[in-house]
Amino acid sequence: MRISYNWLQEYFDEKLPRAEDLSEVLTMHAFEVESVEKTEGDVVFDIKVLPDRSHDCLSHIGIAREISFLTGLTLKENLKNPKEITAPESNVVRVEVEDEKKCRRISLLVIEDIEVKESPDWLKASLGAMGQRSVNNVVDATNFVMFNMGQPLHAYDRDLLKEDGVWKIVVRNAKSGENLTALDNKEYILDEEDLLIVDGNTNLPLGIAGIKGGKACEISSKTKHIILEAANFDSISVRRTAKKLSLRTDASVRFENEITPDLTLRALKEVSDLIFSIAKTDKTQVEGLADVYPGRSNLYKAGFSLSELNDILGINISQSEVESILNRRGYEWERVEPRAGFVETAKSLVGTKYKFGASIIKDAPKEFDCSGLVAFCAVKVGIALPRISVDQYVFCDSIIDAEIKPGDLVFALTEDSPSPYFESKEWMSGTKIEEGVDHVGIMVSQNEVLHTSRYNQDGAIIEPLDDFLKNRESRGFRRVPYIDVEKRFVITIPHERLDLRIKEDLIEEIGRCYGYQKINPVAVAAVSIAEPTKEQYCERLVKNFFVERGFSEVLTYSFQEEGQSELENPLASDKKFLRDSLVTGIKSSFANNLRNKDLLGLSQIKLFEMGSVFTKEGENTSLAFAIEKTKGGDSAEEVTKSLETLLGIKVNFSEDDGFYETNFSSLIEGSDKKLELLSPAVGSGARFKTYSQYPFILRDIAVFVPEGGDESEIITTIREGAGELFVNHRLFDVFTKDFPEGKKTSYAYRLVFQSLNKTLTDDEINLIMDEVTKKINKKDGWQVR
Amino acid sequence: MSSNTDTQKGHFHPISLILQKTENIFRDLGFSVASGPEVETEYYNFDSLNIPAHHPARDMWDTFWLKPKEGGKLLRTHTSPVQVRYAESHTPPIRIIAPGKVFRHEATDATHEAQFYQLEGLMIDKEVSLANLKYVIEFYLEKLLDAKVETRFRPSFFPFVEPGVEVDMSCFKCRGEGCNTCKKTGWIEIMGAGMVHPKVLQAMKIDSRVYKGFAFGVGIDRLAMLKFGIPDVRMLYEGDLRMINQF
Repeated sequence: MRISYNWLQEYFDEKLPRAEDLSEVLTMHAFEVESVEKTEGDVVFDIKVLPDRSHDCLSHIGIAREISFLTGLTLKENLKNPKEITAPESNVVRVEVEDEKKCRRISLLVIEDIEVKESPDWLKASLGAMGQRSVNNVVDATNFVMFNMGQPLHAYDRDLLKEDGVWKIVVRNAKSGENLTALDNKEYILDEEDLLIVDGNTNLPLGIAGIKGGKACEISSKTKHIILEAANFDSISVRRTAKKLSLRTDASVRFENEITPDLTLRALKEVSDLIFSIAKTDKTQVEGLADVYPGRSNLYKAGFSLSELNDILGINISQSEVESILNRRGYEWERVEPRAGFVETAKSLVGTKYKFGASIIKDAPKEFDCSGLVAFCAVKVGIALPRISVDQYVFCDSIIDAEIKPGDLVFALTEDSPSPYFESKEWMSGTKIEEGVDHVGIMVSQNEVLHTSRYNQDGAIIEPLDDFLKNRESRGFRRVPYIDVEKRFVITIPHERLDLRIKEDLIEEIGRCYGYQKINPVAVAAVSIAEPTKEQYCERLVKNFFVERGFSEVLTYSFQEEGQSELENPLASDKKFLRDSLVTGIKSSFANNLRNKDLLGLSQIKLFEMGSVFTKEGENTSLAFAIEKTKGGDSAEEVTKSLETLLGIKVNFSEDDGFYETNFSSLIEGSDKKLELLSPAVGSGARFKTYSQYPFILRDIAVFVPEGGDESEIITTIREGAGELFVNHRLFDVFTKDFPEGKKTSYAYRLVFQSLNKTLTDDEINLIMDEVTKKINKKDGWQVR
Repeated sequence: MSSNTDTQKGHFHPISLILQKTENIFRDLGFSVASGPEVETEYYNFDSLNIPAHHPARDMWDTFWLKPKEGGKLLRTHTSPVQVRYAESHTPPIRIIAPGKVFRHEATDATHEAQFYQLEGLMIDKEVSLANLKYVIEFYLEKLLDAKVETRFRPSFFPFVEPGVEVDMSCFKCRGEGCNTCKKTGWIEIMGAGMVHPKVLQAMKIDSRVYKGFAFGVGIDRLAMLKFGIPDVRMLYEGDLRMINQF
């Protein structure tokens, strides 16, 4: 997300660190800053906010909070906790939500008698920094607040909606084939999965919920009265529709990543203040608010202990350092003794109502079911227990009766239970409990149980253990892990931090602020060397075999024009299938390399590849090789024979036009080679040298030198004469002959000339060859033939 | 380039040079080499790694799907599925690396290929920390690159780890002075890593009250390019001996 330095500065009284330093702090402790762009009078950061922080940090306030957390600079008091709008309930606008799962909240604010006009320069500049063009003051205000707080907003021209006593806005699913012309003047056709905002009096669509507003009630210079919408839509639903319509907007991205419904009234407060400052007339007034909030929930809590933190990070951070980090972020936190806190919470819940499947986020602390009550008490002391009784049974450690302490759990199976569990669901799923379990209570003394059940008239009660077990079979006592280990930090998670849910999330939060650079390497315990499997051993053995025999290993593409497994979304029409053989790839590699044979200085082109191929039967490792047919050179038959000797089995290669392939996976099943650890392949140790894109030119030269001379001296001499265009050579013929003056040996070479930056001409090479000949003939007893 | 009438020298592909050395370094630390299929199921590639359907995190991996789409088969986008597959048949303590080919549905250029090699590392034991991760990564990079290497962790996000980090290594070319290899920063971004997410341990049927672990994923192509100075990732798959026979 683009973040403006000047905009951030507005959140602080003190001067922010230099942009470069800020970028460094964010990169090392929060997000990667991908670029820092200096603009006229401002600096714009491009910050890579990943999905875990897209709930709260696709906004300037989110980044400002991070900066405050990481640098210790104090946020301005009024911006630290933005206020919610307060307004009377609207008398003229009603709002209804048909699908509460998809719309967790919708808040509408009616402002009358405003003036739509051009935005002030500061606002245009702020939006400009975000890469946005100014539309008008009202639309710009809604966009500004979105970039500031992360809450998308929409403004409707109220007079363009139908009034029928009141104006009515409804959130409902689209009908199949229903269409809408959006603000981008494009028409979108929708289906039942898409969510719409519609005019409740006409049932006509006004916008695609969370994605794009409609043309029908667009704000224009004629607009007098507006309805501002701040809503919260389900992330999955918005994502599905946005993807299907290929319509990703600033609003949809924020909803897709999920934001807290808690934001809407704060955003309306801010946008309303802004509109009063830039679109006001003498008569401007807030008429009222309509707010429907089906998705209301409690604040989450999560916890950790100091040793859990240090054990995961591998550091030794002190309690006071943790406390100071928590305080810097302004977290509400406490450090509790778990067992005492657990029992205390449990006792405070006596009298709460029973509700099967009650949510500990939405229904607590008024209603619980048996295991929800236990999980809630654990949450309060920073222990995350599984939610349902059977999982709690498996999660907790078994203890004997004599060890029972207040805060331990008792499990049971109800007589004629409607829904006993015989295996765990979420925790170590599938763990069997043969005898079944369906109920859990908390021991509050040696023989008293606190529990809630559908059979309890009064909801959560404390009763003697004997009474608890009257219509139940005991499944014994268990102890909540971590309950006696050490005190735990319990953090109340702010609404917007949807990423902080479990212990590990909090440990990351502390760890990154503390600084990962303070983690020092700690050696792992030494264990014995790990042995290879047969496939791994044989693969290396075979690769070594081919390389030692003068083959080069190639890797070619897995995508091909033809095959047996077709891709749904290929990159190109000639890459539609997964290869079912290595031959196509190695064939084309062979043809290319054959053209460069002289340049490469090779006497025979020899290639092999090992890799996965995909047939109707599935996936297997294939081995293929290619070998140029030459006189006196290596041959496929000899290669096969040697390979058979090496592996001690028969190897059947299928042959296709001089290319050989075998199913390596099934081949080695038959091999009973003794496994060994092999040393890794050793390369030349070279650094890559660019090769030319221009054609090369060849010249042959044969030189007589006195027998017994040093052959390498010939090449040195040739190089001296040929200069830098001489790139390679191959010795292709050697013979010795008697001369009157004594025995002489003839060496015949093929010389390769190539330029990195142009196509060479014959004339250029002729001149070079003249020079080479001159240099050689000058040597005593040497003669170019 | 060599030349001789009789014996012609063979050459390993640069990827093999890196992988074989990598395997030996890790075997010495007690890490077995594990493998898994290149055609994966949606479950192993995503769901088991705490990347549920419809989660925006799925956009972090552009995916090739096989026909028919309803079959839920895809080309693995990382080697992480091998973690879960391995844990299904092994109990902790676990030390593995899983090298292999992975695929991303993206336009190719000098630094992006639709197919490339990745190395997954996983260690699960009763006591494992980010400090152990740092040790193992530095041990590996120093041995592989034959140079003194420092690493630094930065916060990052991968759904299958928590905490998640991005690992930078000190530039082995300029030793932090700033050169072209490290874009003048002294650091090279080299891999993603972190502590295995409890949900992934659950998918592995490993008791996260008792065990924890670290995991990392490093691009082998990138290491090969850095070590050998290969300027364009596409060269690795052209089967061109003008490149391969240099090594």
